[in-house]
Amino acid sequence: MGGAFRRFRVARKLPESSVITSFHLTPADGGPLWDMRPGQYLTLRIPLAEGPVLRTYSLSCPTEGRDHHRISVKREPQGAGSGWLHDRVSEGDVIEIAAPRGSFCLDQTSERPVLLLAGGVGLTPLLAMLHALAQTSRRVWFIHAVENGEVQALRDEVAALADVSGGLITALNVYRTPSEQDRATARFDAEGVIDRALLQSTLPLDDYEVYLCGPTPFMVAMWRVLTGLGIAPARIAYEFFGKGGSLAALAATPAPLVQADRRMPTRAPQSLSKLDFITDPDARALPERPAQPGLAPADGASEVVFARSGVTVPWSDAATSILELAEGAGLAPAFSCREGICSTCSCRIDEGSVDYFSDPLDSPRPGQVLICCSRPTGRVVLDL
Amino acid sequence: MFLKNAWYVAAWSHEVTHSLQQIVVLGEKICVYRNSQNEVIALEDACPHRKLPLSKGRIKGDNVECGYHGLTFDCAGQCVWAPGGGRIPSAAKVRPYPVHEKYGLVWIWMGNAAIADADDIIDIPNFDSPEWGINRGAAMELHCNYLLMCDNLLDPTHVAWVHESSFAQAATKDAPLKVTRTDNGVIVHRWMMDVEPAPFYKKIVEFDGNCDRLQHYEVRYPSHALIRAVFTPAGTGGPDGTLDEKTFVMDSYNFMTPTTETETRYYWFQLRNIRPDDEDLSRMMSEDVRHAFEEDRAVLNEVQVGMTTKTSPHIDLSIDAGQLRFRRQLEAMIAEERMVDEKMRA
Repeated sequence: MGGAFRRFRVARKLPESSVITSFHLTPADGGPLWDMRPGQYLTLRIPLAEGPVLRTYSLSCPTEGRDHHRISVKREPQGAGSGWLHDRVSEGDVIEIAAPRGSFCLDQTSERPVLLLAGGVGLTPLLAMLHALAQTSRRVWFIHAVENGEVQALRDEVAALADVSGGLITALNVYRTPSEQDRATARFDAEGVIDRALLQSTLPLDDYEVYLCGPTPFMVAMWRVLTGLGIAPARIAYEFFGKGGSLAALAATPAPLVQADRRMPTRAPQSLSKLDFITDPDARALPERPAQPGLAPADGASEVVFARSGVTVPWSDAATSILELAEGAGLAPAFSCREGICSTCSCRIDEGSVDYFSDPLDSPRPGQVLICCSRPTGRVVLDL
Repeated sequence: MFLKNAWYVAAWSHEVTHSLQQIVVLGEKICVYRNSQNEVIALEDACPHRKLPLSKGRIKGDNVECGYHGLTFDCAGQCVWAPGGGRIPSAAKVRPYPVHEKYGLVWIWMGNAAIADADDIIDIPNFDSPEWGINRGAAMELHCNYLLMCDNLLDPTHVAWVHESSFAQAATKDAPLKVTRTDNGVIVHRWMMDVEPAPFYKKIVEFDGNCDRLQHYEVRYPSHALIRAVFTPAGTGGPDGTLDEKTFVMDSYNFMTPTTETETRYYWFQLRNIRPDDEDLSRMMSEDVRHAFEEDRAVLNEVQVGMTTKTSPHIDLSIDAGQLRFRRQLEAMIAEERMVDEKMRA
């Protein structure tokens, strides 16, 4: 919905592997390149005979210092969009593109070490992130799982970034079915898939942020491995190809997805086979952004000073919110929804800060907090 | 305020014929008819000369002739004849609207025609499946803003009070709700475990005894709702439920088309996964659903009056979380669309 399309020229069409081709796109309307954040995608308007369709492709290029955008597209057997790009579009052609979008972006304010896990053509947004990370002093592991060297794209670009990083970037290639030539030229670092043993033997113990992109079964498998290694779900950001859902919910679903992309348990009638997430609508929730740094959950050391009432109450996990804590202490603050949507419970905060366990519908005004959906982080003084 | 870059239902396919008629969508008057290829044509319903609605004129072949001075417009809205010596003024045209027929409905795109993509029309799995029955709904006029109906369709709680005789059962009064934001709307849902089926469904389900019941209330932008009811034998439902060969699913599709800020045309139909060819069942479901929607209409017409003439503030409750999140995101989308429009015009 929405968004203005602009015209871009295909300045270069460059095969990257037997199935993946890159397209270099320069503005054909005299305008500038789009501003983009590493991890975002472009929306292309594809003029098919039966009418135009829109397709999205992740940007695989650095966000700065270029005269073109680049997308790297895998030819899908039934893919109308990728088929058109591979077969019909030539260098010099003009295509219509809408501005970069997407919230699967590198958190550039963080200084934590980063783990980028790519499955197949899912490397594209992660490569844009890698270019951005190469400009920083953060430690980065880039692990690419692919079938073999024939289909792998952009291996040399990743390797070149690692080579000049002074040891900050480690790039690993994991081939599931390496060819004789792959073996002869030692193109890969491990055979098989990314599993618990590989990550344990490769990664030093640390507090990682993880970015995942690839086919859904790959991401479900990675989610299970990562959470099994104790990485908090809030530290794992991911993006599905096309439409997505909650990886946590998919990973919790017993196997069926991996078998045939069918989410129905077996006892359901055949008539329901086309319905997704029928028993668990929650699995379609938008992916959550990684948690903001510095928001520690409330602990026993927290306390709330209700200044006007002259009451100080230590935080107790028996309360879910500051509002409940206040009520438990005999206070009666104003409220209506108790869900962070009506702002009736908004009150002034004079010291400390709170952590919202449910996002307020409207951000409270500066200096105010909603007490129905928050907990204290340490000592908090409220005008109550 | 409406989202323009979106598909809305303009009419049932059978309502658009080879004669001219006026419809109103998002406050815009539109002349619709079918041409000789049976394609639906939708044109701005005002001759650029003295603004007589073209729908007051007549069809000439595939073209429309204004009933005042005979200015004639083709299916793309271009004037092909005007009085006064043969030359056609350059501004002699009316705006054509992209339209597309799908699911027995005529869909109309109200925004920038360059980005109209029929693939964006809501996907309805099983619409043509022989395993699924359909009771083709109807349409009704609501004397309220379309978002009040969207609110209603994100609100499983009202069932216990408004639809006491049909969709309600004891558990619908207080089972907790879960609000989920998706990439194209909001879902409010809850499972009610081991309960007696509500009266409307008791007549339909093909198993005895108690059920696990899912209320899945989903509205997608701009104003299209999927209300899914799942009734499955007790013990086979819940988020990780295995379901059962007797599991009954009814998908109710509801499309709200804003006519004006205070008027809405409401379209619906229901799909079900049992007895697809049972016409009596389809008829019974149509009648019962219509009856329930009349109950909603009576409430919403009054709510519109109440909210626009209120003399004291209204309050929001926890049960409103889904509706308010939907409204807030839609407002943001509308604001973004306006910003882009203004930039393109500048």
